[in-house]
Amino acid sequence: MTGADQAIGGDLGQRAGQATASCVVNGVETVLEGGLAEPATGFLRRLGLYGVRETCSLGVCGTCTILLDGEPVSACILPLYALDGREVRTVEGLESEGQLSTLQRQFICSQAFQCSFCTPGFLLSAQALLDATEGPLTDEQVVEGLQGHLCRCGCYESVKEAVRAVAARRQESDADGAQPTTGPQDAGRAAP
Amino acid sequence: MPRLLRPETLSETLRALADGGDDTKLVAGGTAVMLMMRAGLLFPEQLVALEHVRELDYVAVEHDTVRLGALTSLRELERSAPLAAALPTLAGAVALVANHRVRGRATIGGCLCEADYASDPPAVLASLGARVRLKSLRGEREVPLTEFLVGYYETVLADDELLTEVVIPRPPRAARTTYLKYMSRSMEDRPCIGVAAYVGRDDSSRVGQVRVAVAGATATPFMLAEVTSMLDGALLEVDGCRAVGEAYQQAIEPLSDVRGSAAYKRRVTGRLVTRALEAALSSPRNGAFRL
Ligand SMILES: Cc1cc2nc3c(=O)[nH]c(=O)nc-3n(C[C@H](O)[C@H](O)[C@H](O)COP(=O)(O)OP(=O)(O)OC[C@H]3O[C@@H](n4cnc5c(N)ncnc54)[C@H](O)[C@@H]3O)c2cc1C
Ligand code: FES
Ligand code: FES
Repeated sequence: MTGADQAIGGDLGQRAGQATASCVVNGVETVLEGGLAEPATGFLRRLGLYGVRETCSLGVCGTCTILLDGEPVSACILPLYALDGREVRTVEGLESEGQLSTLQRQFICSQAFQCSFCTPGFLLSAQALLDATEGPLTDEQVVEGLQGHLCRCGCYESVKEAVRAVAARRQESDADGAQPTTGPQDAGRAAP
Repeated sequence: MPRLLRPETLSETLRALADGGDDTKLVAGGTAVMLMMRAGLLFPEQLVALEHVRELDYVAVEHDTVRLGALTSLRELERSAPLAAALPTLAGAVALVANHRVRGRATIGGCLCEADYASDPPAVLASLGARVRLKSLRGEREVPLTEFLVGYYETVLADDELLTEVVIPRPPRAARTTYLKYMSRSMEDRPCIGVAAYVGRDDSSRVGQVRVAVAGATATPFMLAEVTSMLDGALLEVDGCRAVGEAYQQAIEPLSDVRGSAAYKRRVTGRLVTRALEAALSSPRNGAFRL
């Protein structure tokens, strides 16, 4: 066993008054299983949530982003115990009843990805930004809200456009009822 | 296999540290500790998680001082309207740290105790004359931040001590503060060089005390009190700023790292010290700026 394995193993311990450590993952109460200081990425992927992707393991790139009580965090440097008693949302939790969210559909219409490896992280930080604000967003607000998400395919402009499009429409109608618009390079394409 | 303790009060935490010995590791946001554990550099027998010690999570803006609880996250500091009004340069500099995901977890206490040389908040706090409050079951002491940080990743904290609070004297109304953060690789990187300047001023438009702290070059924020004191009481013109910049460039002995060679950092330091002082003197706006 390496030093690192020894450090992350161990018993999860308990919160006062709780028999087991648990958290709510995408709406489902889930018992935490794993080493106490193991990165949260491993636990979430063992649940089959493969939208949580580990790349840099340094907190830099954003592919492992989850929402912890609504705030984006890098799961690769989040110790498992820190999930205890909290609410976790991954990209799998953005859709409801098999329907992609408005933001997800807008990403498709704006072609906001090529390989899509970075997409879950962008979607979650963008969702947190939309949840924390009202009305249209400026370029600067979107850039600041999506800071530190790296996209090797270089889709930054179309991601920005997708998020701004959703923000711009939400004042007109209830955000989730809004329909995606097609992007400039994609004028003829119908929204799915 | 490590054990995990999750105290909920300050006194439980101090007890855990006193009983723990040197195989016990405190974890606040864990953004630094997790990297070290994952790299196999750290394998404590016991972790003491601070995150439930809510009494250490606050921003208190008072008449003469601003007090920050050690467990306050950088994200909370960045979003605090009272802090932005009282100490805009600190609030702005905190917002330039890492990315929003890291700032959401990282705490001000963890940032100072990690004592990484390439950090922004320590330089800004040093230029503001901040002190830190350290507690253990043995008692309490307050130490200037410049004496708290002693080397690369090294502080004066004893094994059983907890940093509980950062205490920052509020600058006089006419004082000017600025932080320039130069990044050589990406927008979310640690500083290649950061320069924090504090220029005390009274209403006569003469310069009061001046403090300039450089981040990213040396083990601890680099300050040359004997040089900046030349400006005390002076009527500031641009020449004075350049002389200070040149003196910093001469005296500093930067380390080379992935963000720049020693020679490069030395030159950048000279220019940025001059610019920070000029900005502090000529611009009515205090704040932090990304370069
Ligand atoms: C991707 C990335 C980018 C970054 N970029 C920047 C940057 O641009 N600028 C910058 O300044 N920093 C940067 N950082 C560093 C970041 O600011 C620190 O990792 C963070 O502030 C540490 O806080 P924490 O609460 O997570 O500390 P932890 O990891 O929990 O702890 C750090 C150390 O402090 C000790 N400790 C924590 N709290 C206390 C306390 N109250 N009393 C005594 N000891 C304590 C711990 O035992 C440990 O030794 C970056 C980090 C990452 C991961
Ligand atoms: S894998 Fe976590 S931020 Fe890159
Ligand atoms: S779409 Fe390929 S990395 Fe972003």
